[in-house]
Amino acid sequence: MFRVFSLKGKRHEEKRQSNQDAVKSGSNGRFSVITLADGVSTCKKARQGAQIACRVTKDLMLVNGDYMASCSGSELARSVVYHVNCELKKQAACDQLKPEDYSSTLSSVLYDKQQNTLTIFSVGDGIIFGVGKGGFRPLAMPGDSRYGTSVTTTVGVTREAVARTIDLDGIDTVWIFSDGAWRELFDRGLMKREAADLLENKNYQGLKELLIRHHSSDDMSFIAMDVTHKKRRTLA
Amino acid sequence: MEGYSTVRARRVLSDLSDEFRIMISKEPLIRSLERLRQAQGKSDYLGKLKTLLSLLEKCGVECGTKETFAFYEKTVNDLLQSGKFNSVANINRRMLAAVFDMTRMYDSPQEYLNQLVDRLTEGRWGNVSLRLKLLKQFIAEGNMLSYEKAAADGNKKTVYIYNGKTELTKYAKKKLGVKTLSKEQLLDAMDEGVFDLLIGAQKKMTDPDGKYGLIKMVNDLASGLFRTGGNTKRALYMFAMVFGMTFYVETPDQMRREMVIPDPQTDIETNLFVGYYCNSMIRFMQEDYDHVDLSAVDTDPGGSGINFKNYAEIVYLYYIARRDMNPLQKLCASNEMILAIDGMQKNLSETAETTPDGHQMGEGNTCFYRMLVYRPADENSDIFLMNEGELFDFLRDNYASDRQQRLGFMELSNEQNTAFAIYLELRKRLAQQLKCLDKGLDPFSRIEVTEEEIGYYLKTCRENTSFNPVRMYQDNIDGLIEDIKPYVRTGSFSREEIVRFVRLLGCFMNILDPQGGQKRLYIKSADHMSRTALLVLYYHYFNVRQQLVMDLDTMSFEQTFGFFGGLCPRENSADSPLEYDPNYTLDDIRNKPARMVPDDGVNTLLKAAYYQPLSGKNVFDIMTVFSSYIMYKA
Repeated sequence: MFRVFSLKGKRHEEKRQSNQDAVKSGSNGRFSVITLADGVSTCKKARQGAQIACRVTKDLMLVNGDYMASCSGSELARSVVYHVNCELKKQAACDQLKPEDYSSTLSSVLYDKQQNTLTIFSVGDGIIFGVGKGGFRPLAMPGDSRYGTSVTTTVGVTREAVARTIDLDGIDTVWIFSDGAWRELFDRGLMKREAADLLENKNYQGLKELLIRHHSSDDMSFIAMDVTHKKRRTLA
Repeated sequence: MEGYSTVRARRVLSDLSDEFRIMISKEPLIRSLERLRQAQGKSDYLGKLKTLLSLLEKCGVECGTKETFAFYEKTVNDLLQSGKFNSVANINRRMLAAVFDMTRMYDSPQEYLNQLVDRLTEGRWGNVSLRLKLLKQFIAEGNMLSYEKAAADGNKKTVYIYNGKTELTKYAKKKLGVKTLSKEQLLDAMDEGVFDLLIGAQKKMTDPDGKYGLIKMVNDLASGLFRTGGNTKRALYMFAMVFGMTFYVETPDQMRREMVIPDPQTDIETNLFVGYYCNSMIRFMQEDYDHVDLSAVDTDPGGSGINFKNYAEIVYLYYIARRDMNPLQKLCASNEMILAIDGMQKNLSETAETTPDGHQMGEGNTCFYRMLVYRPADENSDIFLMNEGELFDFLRDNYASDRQQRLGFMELSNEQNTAFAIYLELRKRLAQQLKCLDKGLDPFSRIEVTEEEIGYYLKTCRENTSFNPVRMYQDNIDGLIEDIKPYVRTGSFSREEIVRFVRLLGCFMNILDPQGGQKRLYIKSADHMSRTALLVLYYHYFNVRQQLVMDLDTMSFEQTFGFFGGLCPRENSADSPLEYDPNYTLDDIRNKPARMVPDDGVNTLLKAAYYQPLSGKNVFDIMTVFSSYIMYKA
């Protein structure tokens, strides 16, 4: 159901720092969720901030999936941003730091098996896309970084977040990539043929090997969720 | 995760905040006390008190909120007599030193372009100068901006987009002592000496169709010498094609065989029009400008963004977005299409079609033309998905090409009607506020102003005298060096750097000066509209608002920058970390929508005018807000 990969970048290896990407997934009867967060490396608690963002979002979406999948995009964005920042503030108070010291990007997808929908939330430079028989469908593009990358603690971030619910519409697998990973899959904005083949064939191992081969200076992570709709057989 | 320039911009804001946090003079304190006096018995007393207490805290005096007004008045008076404050002269010196430090932290256009070139070519050209890297790339990938095409008599003729191939070839042959030349030999032969051809060259020889056109263009790009008349912009499009830059075109939200995303590393709008072209004030700090006649260059710091109403720019973007063509093919195809449309010399008024959704084609509206490029919903209307023939027909029918013998094709349709309308409305609001200030009226009253009154009140806009010391220093560079030397934090500097700094400040003051210089408050037509004009107008509006309604005395520079852009300090929304309540539930979000104070910042206006928002990466933006910030501090 879920496939996860996370590799510390060379920069953090050389500095003996931890991988600042965080990845989490979860499932209950009706809902499944995947989340990925990339800590801002100039922040003191980047790794912890990313982990908090992932955990809070995963729990929020699983417990309140019904609401999350049916509310408007702006309500969705506010809910996620608010809850994440509440937790960051609590942690910051414990550590006597500022919430900004825990900043990260954040991307998540909630799959509603009953309604066959995907609820998407993304802030920052992660990317979310769906893959199916028809090819690829971008679900959340990396945010406009011309004026700085938005993160969980950016004031006004709810206005910039991607937050929406869509029908599955032919998507078999949903992928979230951190920027360190997706940059290795694209060449000047176009997905490389090798990467596209691996994704279309759900060749997770091949994809991991490709990323390991291109081991970049930045942390590289992805998480994938299989959303192939299996029809229940009705008894005669 | 963030680029180096972005991290550096954040540091500039942060460093300036630190610097000025402790720079308090007497005036803000006196004003704050007076506002508290006037607020006694009124609902805003507590708010005014918090402002005063915040100022006192910065001076090292802590007071509670339950004291009497008399107590606060005595506290302030004791403080004023204590000698704890910086003199105005001292504050000015520190401010100038801080601005000097700030300008040293920004990349010059040359540095920026050099990083971009190395990134786009993956360091292909090694450690040669920027201009040599550019020239070699134009040779290697762009055939020196020339191509062959079939002539009417069946022979081939060479078309020169920029002239220069003949002279470059001649130079290489002479240097190598050969009669024929391969591309590799030509590349190897290129060195700094080729740019000596420009020394003493007549102006005609350095025009795009002059014999040194390409060499001059490359030299200008590398030096950050932005030319007027659309020449620099055209050069940027040449650069983008030859260096394989991208332009992202959004497609309808559905499955596609190919996955294409915006690439911030190679995107032309992000890297050239926002990055290189816009941050151009730093060029006045460069040696290249030491002997330049400023009347021959574009001194507008804003540069200009993509003009979606200009057919040539659409053609360039169309081919830049194409992934199935190499640079030379793009150069050839774009030039041929532009020449064909240019040859028609057609007016927009000849077109009278209406689109299916009711838009009048050729209405000259920026919004409409932008949406032709950025509207993803209707695949059939996306002009970037058209084939070349369809695009040609569309541009021919719906864009103006009549240059009336006086304009270059890059200058067509430069009028910015939408932006100009916003500008006029803001100018009226400024006059209204000045009238309120003059008459002692409620600044929120909807007071009318006549055209005559607008003209009258605009003349009362104040020049920021905080930078006046620079006028004193223009002929006393040594005096300036002595005054700021103790406060400069970015390391040692040369006399030449200070001379260039004064030049930069002179250009800046000229732009902001309400009554002199470039008269940004008196733009008369959409043809002369620019982002700089809107920003300068807003700057004056903001300064008047400071006097009337705002308590900005206690704000840090970083907060002022945010407020100038459009974040109201009284904003109370789910975004504000200060408001987070750990016991907040989802029901609370549903039941209590965020309370937002209306956005009155410049970004709303810039966005509506299709200009770039305020940015910490833009030194002109920083200096404009800084000028506001210190206006009432000293």
